[in-house]
Order: sequence, then C-alpha cells, then structure tokens
Amino acid sequence: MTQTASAPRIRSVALVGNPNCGKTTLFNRLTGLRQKVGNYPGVTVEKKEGIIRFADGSIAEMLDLPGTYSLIPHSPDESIATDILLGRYKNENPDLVVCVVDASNLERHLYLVTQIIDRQLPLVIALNMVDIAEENGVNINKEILTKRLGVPVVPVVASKGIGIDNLKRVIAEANHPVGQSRQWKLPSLVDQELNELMGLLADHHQLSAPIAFHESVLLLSSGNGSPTNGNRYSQQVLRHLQQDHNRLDAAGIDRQSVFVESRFQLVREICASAVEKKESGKPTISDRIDHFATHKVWGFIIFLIFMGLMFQAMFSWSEIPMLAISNGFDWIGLQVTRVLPAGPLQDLIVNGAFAGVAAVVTFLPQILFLFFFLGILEDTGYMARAAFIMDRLMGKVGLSGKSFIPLLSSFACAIPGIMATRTIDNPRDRLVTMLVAPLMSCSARLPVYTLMIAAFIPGITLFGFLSLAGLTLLSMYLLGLLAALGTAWVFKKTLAKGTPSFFIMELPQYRLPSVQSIGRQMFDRSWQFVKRAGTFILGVSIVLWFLASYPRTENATPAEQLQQSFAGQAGKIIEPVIKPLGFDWKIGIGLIGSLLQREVFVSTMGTIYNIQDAGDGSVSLQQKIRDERDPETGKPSFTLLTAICVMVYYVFAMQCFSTVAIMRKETGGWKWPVFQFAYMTTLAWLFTFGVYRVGLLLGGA
Amino acid sequence: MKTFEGQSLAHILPGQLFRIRQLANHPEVCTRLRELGFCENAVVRCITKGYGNIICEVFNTRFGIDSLTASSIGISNV
Repeated sequence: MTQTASAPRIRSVALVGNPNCGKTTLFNRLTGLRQKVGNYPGVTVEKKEGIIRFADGSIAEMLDLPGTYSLIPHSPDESIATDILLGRYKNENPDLVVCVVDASNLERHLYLVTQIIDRQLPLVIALNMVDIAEENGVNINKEILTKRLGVPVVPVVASKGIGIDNLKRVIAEANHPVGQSRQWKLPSLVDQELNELMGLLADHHQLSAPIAFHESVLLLSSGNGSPTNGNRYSQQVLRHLQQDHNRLDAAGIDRQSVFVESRFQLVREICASAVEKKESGKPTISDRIDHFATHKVWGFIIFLIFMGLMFQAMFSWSEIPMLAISNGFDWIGLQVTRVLPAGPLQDLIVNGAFAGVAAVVTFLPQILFLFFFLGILEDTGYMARAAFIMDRLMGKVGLSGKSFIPLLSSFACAIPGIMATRTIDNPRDRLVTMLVAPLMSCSARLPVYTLMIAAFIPGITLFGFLSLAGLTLLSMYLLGLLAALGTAWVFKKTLAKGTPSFFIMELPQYRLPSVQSIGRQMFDRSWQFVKRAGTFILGVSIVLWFLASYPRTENATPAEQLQQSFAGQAGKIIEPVIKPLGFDWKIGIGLIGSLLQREVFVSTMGTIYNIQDAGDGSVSLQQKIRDERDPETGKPSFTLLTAICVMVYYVFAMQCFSTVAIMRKETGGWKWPVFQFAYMTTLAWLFTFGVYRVGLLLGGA
Repeated sequence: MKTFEGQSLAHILPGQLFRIRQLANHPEVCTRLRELGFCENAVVRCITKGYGNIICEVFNTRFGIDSLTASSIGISNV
C-alpha cells in the first residue's frame, strides 16, 4: 500500500472534511491528479487514491474521502469516510489526517474537527477558501485557532494553488500532534456515565480509548431499548447502558442533544476567540440569485429554459462541426479506396472499421455540448438548487429531491448517476433511484436519437428560434424523465414501500463556472467517447463486418449478400419478436449489436448500410436510411414512425452492460440488475408497440 | 414524521431571524439535523421560500429543507 523514495515519515494521508469544502480540488493540487470536482455536495462518493510528493523526494499515499458532516454516517458515501477514520478499513489507521475546513463556514466545519480530534489521530487543518472568507468580511486568527485546537492550521486557497507548498511542508513534518481530546464540557453526570461506559467497553471488547469513547457517545445518545447494533456488545455492557439511560433520563438530560450541543458550545467559544466577522447586513449575490432561481414560479421556468437551451445547442449548434467530422471521415475513406486495391481488405477497412467508427465519432460535438452544460450546472452551484426545486415533484412519486441529482447526472451516463445514489440515506429511496436512473437518456443514446432525427424530422424552425429537431430531442429526454418518475412511483408503491426520507441539502454559494474545470471535464468525457469508438466500437464494427459479409454467396447483389450473411440470419431470427414494433431484420441486427452499448446501434447501421450499398461513401447514413425500400413492396423500409419507434425503444431499453455491472456492484448481487434489465426491456417493447399501433391508426405507415 | 406543535421553522418568513428551541422528529433525523447545525440555541435565518420548502441559513451555511422537516424544528425569537 505504501511506498517511499527516501526515509519514510508519513506513509498514508487521509483527506477528510464536510461535503463541498474543496477536498478534491486540494487532492488534485497535492497529487497532480485530475479527479472530478464540482460545486455541490456529493461529487465524491468513493475514496480516490493518489501519491503526494514532498520537496525532499519522499512520497506518501493520499486518500481523498467522500465528504461527511460527522463520524456518525447516514449514507453509504459517509460510511466510506467514517470507516477509514475509525480504523475499520483494512484495520489500519491513516498516519495523518488532513481535515479540509471551509474558512467561510468555520463554525459548522469545526464540528467534524472536534470529532476527529477526539479520535486522537495526527491531524492537520487545511483552512481552505480563506479568500472567500475575507471577501465575506471573515477574518480568522490562525495562531489562536492553532492554539485552541492544538493542531497545525494551514491557510490555503486550493482553487488557486495558494498555500499548497506550505501545506505539503507541514504534512511532511514528523510527529504531528493529535490535538487535545474532549475539550468540550459535558454535564458532570453525563461525563461520569460516559467514563464508566468507556471503561466497560475497553475491558469487555478490547477497544482503544478513542474508539471506546466514540462508541460510548453513540450508545448513550441512542434511543431507549437495545441499540440497533446491540448484538455487538456483551450483556453486561447492555445492562449498564440501560441503567445509564435511566439515570440520565431521570435527571432530565436530553441524551440525544447533549453531545452535539456541547461540541457546538466549544466551537462557538473557539470561533468567538479566533474569528472576527463584519456583518454587512446586505443580501449577498447568492441571496439575490436564490430569490429568483428557487422562486416558486421563476425557479421552474429558469430550470426549463436552461434545459431547453441545452438541447437546442446540442442539436442546432453542433450541426457544422458534425458535418465537418463526417466529411473528414468520408475523405479519409476515399483516400483508402484509392490506395488499396478492391477486395476483402479494402472492404473491411472502408465498410467495416471506417463506417462503424465514423458513424459514432460524428456525434462528438453533441457530447461536448452536453458536458459543457452539465459542467455549468455542477460548477455554478445550481445543481443543488435544481434538487431543491424538484423536491416537491420527487415527493409526488415517493422520493425526495436528493434523488434528483443522481437522475440529472444520468443524463451524462447512468454509471456516475447510480454511484451518486450513495448520498441518499434512505436505502429504499436509494434502490428505487438506482433502478430508474438508466431511464434517463444518457450520452450513449444521443447518437441514436440524432441519427433518427436527422433522417426524418423536417428542418422546421418554430417561433423563429426553436428547431423542431431540437424539440424532438428534448421530448425524448423528457420521455425518459417521465418514465423514470412513473416507474419510481410504481416501485415505491410496490417493491420499496415507505415514506420518502426527509430532504435537507446544503446549498453552496454561487460562483462563476471555472473554464478550466468545465474544459477538463469536456475533454475527459469526450476522450473516453473517442477511446471507446477506437477500441470497443472498432472491434464490434470489424466483427459485424465479418458477420454481415460472410458466408459469401456467389452472384448475389450486396443486398442479397447481407440478407444471407450470419448477421442477416440473426436479424431474421429475431424479426418475429420485433416485427410488431415496426422493425425489420436490419434494425434487429442493430438491436442485437447494441446490447452491450447503445451507440453501437449507429455504428452497426453504418456498417450494414455501407455493405449493402457496396461502400458508396458519397451518400450519408441518414440519406441511405431514408432511401431504403422494401424489395417486396417497394415502399420505404424506414418511415418517420419507424424512427420514432426506434427512439422510444432506446429511451426505455437497458442495452448497456456497464450499467448492469455497476448495479451488481452497488446492490451486491445479481437480483436487482437482472430485474432492471428485464423490466426495462419489457417496458421498451410495450411502449414501442403502443406507439407503433397508435402511429398506424393515425396513418403513420 | 413528527411535527412541532408550537412556532416552527416552517412558519418563518424571508429575512427573519429565530433561535432554534427544540427538535421534534425521529431520533436519527434529530441527530442529523443537530450535526448539520440545526441544534438547540442555534440562530437560523430564512433566505427564501419556494415550492413549500424553505432555504435557510444556519452557522453561515445555506440549506434547502422540506416543509415537513422544517415543521419539526421549534423556534423562538432571538
């Protein structure tokens, strides 16, 4: 786990703090890594590892932990942090804890600090965002704070890289102090009971003094009767605990509030001596923005305008760069046909590899726009407001606003969306949110929607600025959202009955979005997209080319050859199942090909239409799909109704192996991923069938 | 969810300051509320109200809180 280049001093450092205090920004500064950051609580939901290098060449392992408000976890992400701080992870303690504290919210953040000090681990305080604190008229006396806490306090501005070298120097020092434990004062009776219980726990369960203290506080502040984890303790401990409860209750002491209140009393005293604050009394910029952004009427309108703008940009503004990429691929394909002689190799490269990869990479500009807008949501602090605005709506389906952030994150990809559910404290709400998150239209569906829209939706503009294509795209995303909400309602009434958990969420101060942060996220996600196109999709395209080109049939036209190929036969086998949806065997090949990843549908279409048209690169895939005719009837194979049905099918269908894998990891078994795959595929079939039948009745054929 | 019978945080108007007096909710919810700063004697300021929920500030930190939870937080004048 630990490596050192020279004399080992500090080998492992844990970075902890309240949510959204800038831990990951500091982690990136200290390790040189580029973990995702954002301006809302719950960006980091799992521990991240990196290496910190000191000036003398020595190194240490650094852990960036999910944010937690206290050492009593309320959600899976908080458990990760508290397990490490309480020595439950690999039964090891970190050599040093760096607690990141938001200087502009010192009073609240010091609560966790007092708990970590009681844990008696070597500690350094990174006093982050001192610039914002000063702007807000908050002046912190570092010397007094250091003296009162008994541990080093290092002011930093992680976002600007200020104070990082100094922090590294302090981290590298040997013999870090652990701080003065239990400076907070309890009523004497509580103190006495606490000490007795600590002694019993230490004797009966061989707990170290800090852990015995932590557990004693938890036990004394728990409700009456056996604690929920009572089977961990000996009968003697439990008997003693019951007597403690009785004595404290008889003395009229509120056991649940006394510990928290005592800590906050200490925090108030420390802040009174170390913090000077000039109250301006004027509303802050965040106050003014919140007045509109969370207004009961304006708030929802602003949210809808933002989402509308995002889809408009994704469709209309990306048109020119998409065309440029498409033309670029066509040009390269043409050069290859000139250089290579006609034959299987040229066919493989042009019709197999090139057609498949080009069909997907063309959509890169849309992916970039999607992540640009999601980056703005995350970086400005608006994400948490969106959760606040949506809490009421989420409450109607049995969830709370906390579920909205994972759902919104799933617009990018269901995997981070499902992982973001770790911030949800109610297990039933978390399960339901995980089950419905893949119904939100992710970036992998975008190429499918765009291909269908570009081929069949007329280029009409409404009200002079809204394109029909953009609106169609928005409707697909809304359909996914409504499907997620409707399904959640059903699940909360059946599988996971129960009232929604309470909603309380920290709303960060608004800030201007960081060009660097958004640019980095756009680059990282688009690079992932291109890498996937160059690896997985390339591989699938080559395999598909083979399956669509063999076995060879003598004297057959390209269309007949495709029909008699392995892929054609597979498409024919599933045709009876998909025929009621208005799909033919070629779409069937696309559905089978994209079982593992949705965007493979587009590359599959690219490959099979190129093979069928013998590599005619002068015509776009959209045009080829539009011109396709049924050889028996002579009617168009693909119609507007077929395109809508394909989009509706992809709104509901799971078609993503990575999501199945992450569901298995997060739920700890195969039951829920299998259920999820089954219900989504069933919904996809039923809804597409319904849309097709209604479309036929309306004359859509 | 339990609610507070007297004056609660749900009744607070934008700009008003109050002191938290009592929490009347499930023990786990009360623990979490206290750890977030909604502890007895803390001063709370209402920023805005919308959709039945409220945005308030405690210990210089802003929180969005649903109306039902807000109604379980008893308050009194500062």
